Amino acid sequence: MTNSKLKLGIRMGAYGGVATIYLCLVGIIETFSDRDIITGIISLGHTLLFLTALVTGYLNMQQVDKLINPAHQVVEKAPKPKDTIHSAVAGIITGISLVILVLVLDRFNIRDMLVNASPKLFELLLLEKGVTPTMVSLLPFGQGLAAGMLRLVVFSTVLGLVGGTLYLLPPTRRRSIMLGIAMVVLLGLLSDLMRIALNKPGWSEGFYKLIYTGRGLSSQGAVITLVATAAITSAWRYIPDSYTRVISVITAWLPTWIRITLASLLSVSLLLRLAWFLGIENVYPPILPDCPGLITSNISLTNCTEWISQGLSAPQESTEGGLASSAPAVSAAITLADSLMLLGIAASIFLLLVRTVQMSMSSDIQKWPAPPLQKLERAQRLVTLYLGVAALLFIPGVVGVYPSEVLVMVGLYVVMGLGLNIVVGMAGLLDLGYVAFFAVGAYSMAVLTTVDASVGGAQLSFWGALPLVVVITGIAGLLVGAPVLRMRGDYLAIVTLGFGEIARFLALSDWFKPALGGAQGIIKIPDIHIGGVEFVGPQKLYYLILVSCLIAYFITARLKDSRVGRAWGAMREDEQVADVMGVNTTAYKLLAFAMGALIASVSGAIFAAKLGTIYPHSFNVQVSITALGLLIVGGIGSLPGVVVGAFALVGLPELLREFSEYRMLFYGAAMVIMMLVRPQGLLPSARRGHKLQGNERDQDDWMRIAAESEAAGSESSG
Amino acid sequence: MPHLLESRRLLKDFGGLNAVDHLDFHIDEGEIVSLIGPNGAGKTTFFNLITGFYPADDGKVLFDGHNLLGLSPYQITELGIARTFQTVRLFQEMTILENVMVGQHCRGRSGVLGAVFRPPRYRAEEARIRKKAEEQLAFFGSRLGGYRLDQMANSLSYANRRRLEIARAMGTEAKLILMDEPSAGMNPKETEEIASLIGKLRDERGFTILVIEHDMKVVKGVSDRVVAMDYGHKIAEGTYENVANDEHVIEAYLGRKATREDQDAS
Repeated sequence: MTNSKLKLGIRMGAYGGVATIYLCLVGIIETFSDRDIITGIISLGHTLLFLTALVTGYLNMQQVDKLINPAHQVVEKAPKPKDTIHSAVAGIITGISLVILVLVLDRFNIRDMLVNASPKLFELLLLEKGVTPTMVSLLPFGQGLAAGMLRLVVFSTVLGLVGGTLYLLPPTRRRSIMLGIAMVVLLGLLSDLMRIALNKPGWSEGFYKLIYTGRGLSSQGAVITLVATAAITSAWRYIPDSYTRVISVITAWLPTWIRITLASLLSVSLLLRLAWFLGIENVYPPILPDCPGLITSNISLTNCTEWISQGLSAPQESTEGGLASSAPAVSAAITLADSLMLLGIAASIFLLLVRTVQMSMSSDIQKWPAPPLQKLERAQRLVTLYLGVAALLFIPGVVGVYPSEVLVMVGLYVVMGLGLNIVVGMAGLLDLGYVAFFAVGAYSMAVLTTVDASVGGAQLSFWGALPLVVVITGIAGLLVGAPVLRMRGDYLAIVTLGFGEIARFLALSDWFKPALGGAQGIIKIPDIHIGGVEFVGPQKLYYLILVSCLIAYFITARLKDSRVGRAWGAMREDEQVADVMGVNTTAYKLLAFAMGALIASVSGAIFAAKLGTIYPHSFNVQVSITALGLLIVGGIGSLPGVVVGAFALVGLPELLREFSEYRMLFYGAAMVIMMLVRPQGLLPSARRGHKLQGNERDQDDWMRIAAESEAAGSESSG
Repeated sequence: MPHLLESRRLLKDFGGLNAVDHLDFHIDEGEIVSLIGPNGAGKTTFFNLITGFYPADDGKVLFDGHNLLGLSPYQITELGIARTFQTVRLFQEMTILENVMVGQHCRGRSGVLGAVFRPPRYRAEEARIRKKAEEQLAFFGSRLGGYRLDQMANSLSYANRRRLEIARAMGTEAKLILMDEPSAGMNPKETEEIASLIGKLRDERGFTILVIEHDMKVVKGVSDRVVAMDYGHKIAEGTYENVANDEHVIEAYLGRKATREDQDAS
């Protein structure tokens, strides 16, 4: 046994070594070493290098666990602490692999073959570069080649050991530590974004200064993040409960009129903000009024009157024009609503406190009579919905321009993903040419609305053109669907892949040049208006995208749970049987293609109006692959999964620009890992995941009852 | 009275092999007829012809006054024929209730707009579909009821999968149910249950049933009439006793069964 564990450790260590050497030689370590995770302490490159050793140790322990607990064994044995020695072995082997790399880099010039085997990488590996001078002086074993190699081996060993130990921790603690590390890395990565979002005058600045320096996460910030994440994860299971309790207290003890007043004040302040942002000024009003004393929560009546007077005289500079004249009034109204709301909240808290004291003094035993369950559930749903909507509406103002742009891209892919989810996830038709519908939507919008006289000519407005675009793309869906009706699986995928390319080549072709502009594309696509509001810039487009996402989500969610959705499901599971059970599979296939197409067309139409110019090259196979990829990452068939997948595959790479060079590599790796580790996706079709666990519980109950009632159950066999 | 289902000189030619060879067959309303014959006799092919899986090469199939040949499987289901499969073919990743609700598909009309906007008409239809599906499942008692309604079909045991297939066929509100070896792979106790279930389906629910069966005990127990096939021909027809003692049938079974045990025409 020990022997096989040792072998395992060596093997895992070799895997880890190969992985790290690979990371070094493709240049990731070097590229990422320019980015600090914790300022002055560790760069992303080194984090990655060390994480590999840590993960190797962890995975090794997992394998040891599997080794001593074969599948057929009934009683589970826990791996013993002394088994971590094998993780250390894995760490040593990883370290030795790196040392071999260092030696090769030292002796031979392999840069002709491997461009990334640079002198810088050599220095990084010896931990002499990429760390600050103070850190260098703290590192053990001093300078030089031998010292550096020794350091590599020792560090890897220790990290392997730590990884192994991590596996042995109880799951809750392990999870909080791992999430803590992940949070630190994430916050370190997002430091630029955070600077844009938070480092501006107001309440957020203090928060930013707390955990960030100008360059990145501060060491103090890293510690705070670790502790906070660990605390939140360990408290996590109490949070939903306390949330429910707070709501139940509020519904039980605050008079209805106060609740309604508060909610309407919040809505008024929110809507006024939106009106201000969308129609009057291009600047988003601050989330909370900038008033002295708010941060120190020193809310007094004088402060509030001060705000109100401030608000009433507020915007000194406003743009010219009819709308601008209403700016001071709106701004004052916002401040007034905010002030009233804060007053109301303070009053309610005071009221609740008084009630608590009253109750604790009275002899009544039932202190907090819970409201009826149904009422409570409704209240909770309402509050959650309300808070969710409020948060969604606030986002662009909080995060600023660039992140809003990213959100707009994510939103476009969410809409597309929801459409593709109908075709692939619900109806089970593998479509690799989905970009075709996106392109048809974008191009038909462009042709119908462009003010460039050389193409088009209809010059409709966005809203005038949108219904036509949807119809045109729906028909395109039918046209693509019809010839592939008899195809299934791989064949269907290949043919649709072809269709996707055909769409692009048609747009490129000379034949269609008079209508579609050829390689130059179509220019001068007007912006989107609603009344006097121009949806220009990502912060405003965000709202448009948000609405289309919500509509697409609503439609797909309702379709999923309906006669149509069941017919698609049956077709996905077994087309022949679906047919025999009375589903007209021909019609439903075409319907799936058409529905998927017309949802994609909305995304395409907004895309065209957003850019103002479209080229055939925007519609390459990459778009189809990403759309399909986000379904796979999120979990095929799952609607929340589409959103998660879009954030993972579109949002993250946009935010982490360093990754752009390696984007495809990470896509590939993510896909492979997903398929191996979590084939059901990050957020599997909620029902399915829930039911899988539910099944076990139900089955246990049922087995118990069955065992009690009858001895021989022929049922449970098979 | 005309027969509920009637085939006249039905022919299916698989590249020179007549799997179903000018078969004349009929079943009347309220009858339970068993179709027997050695493996490869063309029984399943006959089912596939009736349900529109395969196009027939010649002949006629009349059901309730309609000619079925040339119709798509879903149209045939709509007219009132449902079937189960020799190898269980459920919609694995759908719940038990949904499986049966799919059976109700052909009795509904609502489309995309109905699903999205959910007018009262849609809600009424959906409620009806659900109620009907639950009714069918209730026929099987606690085996497919209760908490199991919302479980995935693939979580069921083998015998329950077979039962669910029958429930799904019942869900189409068919007049005639074709069952392809309902007792295949079941233990003796379950086989017995299936036999009594077939009887109940006719007596309580009024289905007409045509069943392919190898288990002679089941055949003997349920059949009003037995039809024996071999090489695509009908070789005997009548009561169980008549057919079981028919010399063609004995000849067809003896000496051939062993060599063809593992194959079937399907």
